[in-house]
Amino acid sequence: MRISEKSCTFAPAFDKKYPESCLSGRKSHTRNVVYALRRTGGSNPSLSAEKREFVALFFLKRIEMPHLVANAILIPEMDRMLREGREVHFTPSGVSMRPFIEGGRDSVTLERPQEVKVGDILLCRVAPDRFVLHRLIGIDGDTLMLMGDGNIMGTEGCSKADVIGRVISVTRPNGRSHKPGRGRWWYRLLPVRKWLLKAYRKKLKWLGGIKN
Amino acid sequence: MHIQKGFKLRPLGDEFILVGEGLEQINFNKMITMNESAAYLWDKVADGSEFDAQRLANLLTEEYEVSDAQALADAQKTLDTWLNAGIIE
Repeated sequence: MRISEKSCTFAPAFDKKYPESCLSGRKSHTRNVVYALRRTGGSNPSLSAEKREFVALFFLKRIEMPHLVANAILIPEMDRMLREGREVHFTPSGVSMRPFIEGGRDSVTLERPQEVKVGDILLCRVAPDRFVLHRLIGIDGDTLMLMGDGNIMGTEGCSKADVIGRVISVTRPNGRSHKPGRGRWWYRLLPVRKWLLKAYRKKLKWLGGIKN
Repeated sequence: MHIQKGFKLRPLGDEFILVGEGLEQINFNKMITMNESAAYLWDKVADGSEFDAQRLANLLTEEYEVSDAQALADAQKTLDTWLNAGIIE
């Protein structure tokens, strides 16, 4: 018997089999597979092909899926609550919204939006069991294009019906909350984002705030 | 003891979470979760009736195959946790 005040950090469920569709369609996929193979000895010829693939996929998930913010159980529950008109507060994980939201450190408050606008940070279902908390960078009719602020390439697409919530405030560990910006200037900096993020990561590391 | 009014038990996967009914904002970072047996107990006392550890223990032995001593110990533990969480008074 147990009752606990649980801290849900929405870490991706690595033990679950990931739908194949999520592993395709990303430009960096091949590069990551190669990287995963090299890193893990997945290319070790003494292992069976099946085992090699398993090892590679296991690490691939860790490399490619850090922006996964939720597991398939909690988000639908959040979805229900948001639909009831409540706000939902939680701590997302991952680095894909750097430098504005630091996974595991900052928490966000969501509401159900009536209308979405470019620049909103949205929690969306981008595949049956895959959710991202990313910024809306484009709208084409019913299709939304999302991209994480901390990503330098790779976008996700979904329809307006897949929007679960919009970030209305970001809370830092010191308890202070602020309304998130529209990210307009950050989007314009996309060509140099890579170096800015690198510098940001270095600064965080130096401050001892993060591990990776 | 009786439960604080205004909470609703909602299923979440294999467990249950306790959500304030009138609450505008749900904090998923501080969620009260209950497993199946705790949820069973909560359900039984959800009408607001008075209860103590002994009544909870009786409810447990009615439903589960546990010894009286084990049930009482578990019931007491549950009661303490609930009290700490501020969901009963």
